[in-house]
Amino acid sequence: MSETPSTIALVGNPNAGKSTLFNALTGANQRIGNFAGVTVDVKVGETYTPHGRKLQVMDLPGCYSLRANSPDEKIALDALTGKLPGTRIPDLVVCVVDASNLERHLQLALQVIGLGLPCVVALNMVDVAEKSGLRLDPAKLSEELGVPVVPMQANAAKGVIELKQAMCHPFPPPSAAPWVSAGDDPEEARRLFIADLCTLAARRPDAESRTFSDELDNYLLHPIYGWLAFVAIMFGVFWAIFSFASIPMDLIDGSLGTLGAWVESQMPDGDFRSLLVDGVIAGVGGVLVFLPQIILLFLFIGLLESSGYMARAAFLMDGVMAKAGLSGKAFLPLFSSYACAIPGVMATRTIDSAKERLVTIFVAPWMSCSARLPVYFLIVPLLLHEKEGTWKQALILFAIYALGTFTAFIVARLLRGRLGPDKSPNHFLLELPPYRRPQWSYIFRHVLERAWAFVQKAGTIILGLSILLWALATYPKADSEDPGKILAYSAMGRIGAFIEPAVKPLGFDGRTGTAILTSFAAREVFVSSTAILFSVEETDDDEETRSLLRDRISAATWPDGRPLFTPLTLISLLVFFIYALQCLPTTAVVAREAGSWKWAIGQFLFMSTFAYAASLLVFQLGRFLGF
Amino acid sequence: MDFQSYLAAACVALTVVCFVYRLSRPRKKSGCGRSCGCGSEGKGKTLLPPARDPR
Repeated sequence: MSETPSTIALVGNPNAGKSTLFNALTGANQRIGNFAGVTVDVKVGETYTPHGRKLQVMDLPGCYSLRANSPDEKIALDALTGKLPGTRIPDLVVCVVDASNLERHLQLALQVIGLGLPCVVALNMVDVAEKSGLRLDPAKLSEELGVPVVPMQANAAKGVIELKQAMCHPFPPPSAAPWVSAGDDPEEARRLFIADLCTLAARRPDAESRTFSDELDNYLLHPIYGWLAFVAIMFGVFWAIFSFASIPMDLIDGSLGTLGAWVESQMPDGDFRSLLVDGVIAGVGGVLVFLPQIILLFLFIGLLESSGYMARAAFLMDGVMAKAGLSGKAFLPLFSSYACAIPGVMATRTIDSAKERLVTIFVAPWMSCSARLPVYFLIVPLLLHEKEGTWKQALILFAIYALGTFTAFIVARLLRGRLGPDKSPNHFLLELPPYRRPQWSYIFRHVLERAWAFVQKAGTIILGLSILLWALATYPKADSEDPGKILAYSAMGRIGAFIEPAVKPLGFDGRTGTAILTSFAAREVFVSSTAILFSVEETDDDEETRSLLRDRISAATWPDGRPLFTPLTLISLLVFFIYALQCLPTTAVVAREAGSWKWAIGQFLFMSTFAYAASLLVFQLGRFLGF
Repeated sequence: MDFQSYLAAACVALTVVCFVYRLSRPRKKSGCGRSCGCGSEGKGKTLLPPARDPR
């Protein structure tokens, strides 16, 4: 008899609920979603047995068999066999199976039991199975499999204590797989054994009934209605982001304005007051004001991931992706990149084809991530008159996302053609999970974490950069009271004058060029830089000084009095931000995932050059056409 | 120079020191780094196995 295990591995098919169980066991908040391929690396956490013994829990990527096809499946297999660096062979394997899909999930469970490792089967989602009329007999299952079977519902933390108790039981020495006799084909033997087992321990109702998911899929997977629904959902998300966020944004903006005015009224004129008002409050506040829109974006992404719609969207997109030389499997990593390119790049591990994976990694940063949103939210309303409705803003935002995605598909097509076909064909197999009610507690926790990360970034990196930008825009000081001369004499003014010849063909002056340059540290810094650079000109202390950043940008002019930000300039600026790769962490992750810094640096140079060329083309073509 | 000028210069100098310290300290290997709005991992941590070279 073996001792109580100290390292436990959670194994199972994709979307079996492993990460939900991991969160329930360890109190972690790992990403979960109602689609296959959410976890692509090994998560480690700690839990305690009912007797207080500490256990290490490993959450492994989902896999359908122990034959590794994709990188994430190889990781799971390596972790189970102790070949993964930093891990050893687990003392116990918890096989998480979806009780409503036992025929398929038991295939992997039997292979794991066949490895000879101590094993417990976590029979998850028993509520869904019972609702579909399945009659489960966990005791019979346990008897036939020769391992403990614990019925549970991980998303409600039901059965977790029973699972922990099962982990503490002494485990019998591993026995040979009883379902295979000498000379049998192991796969066929497993299939027959599972068929017999399910007849005994998981009886389905005699009459097949269509579920709610089946009925809904009639429309959401329909070649016409499905696409209409997809476009309506995406447009609805953008519209809601603009319309629902306006009230809290106005509140934050008003509060920051009041704070700035209060600081000005309490302190005499001087450098420190200028640092606080024009540097810290303008710089950090300029970014913080977009917090409500960021929260709404993550809320909607969470809802789509949690409901099961993501897999349907991947199914719909398969045809489009095929035209770009990719498969529907690439859709999920690309969609993840709308939130952040880093998890998107990592999610490419689910792609079987190495070349398709490399191409997906290359184009993923062109999916507009949340860091670009503050820039878009700043510029898009400037393109429209104040009285024009939020639906037009949503339409422009939709077009921005569509442009990035469309260009990514074209480049993917070209690159895929250059890399050539795969040695062996790869097929796109997609599991369509049943629609589920969103797990609100998880979604709210996740949104809160992302919002907090955004606030933390504003309070650390953006605060620091705002202070440095203020210093660059203030020192060295000129012997003049003219704000234009003060800025021109400062370090920032000199940098702007230096880079102006390079950005003028794009329609930008030195200040905008400097703001773009600073945004290579973090995209949101463009907003802070603009706020600082365009507030230096303000000299009066009246209410106008505290006006919206957009008003200040609208009023900015060239030295000859022409407006600086015309609609054409704004579009040129938007195009630059759609295409530029201004995220060092993404470059580092691309280097790791592609296995080459050359690839990552090449991607950075290509995207930066492409952004410059596209912006140049838009501005010069627009001018040629008389805009 | 008045006290506000000294105070502002001290804030700028402190910020520079913080940035230099941040850049010089050893980096933790992390999946996301949370620098672009990615959530934290709560009580869990990530083991980052190398993905198979895609070429």
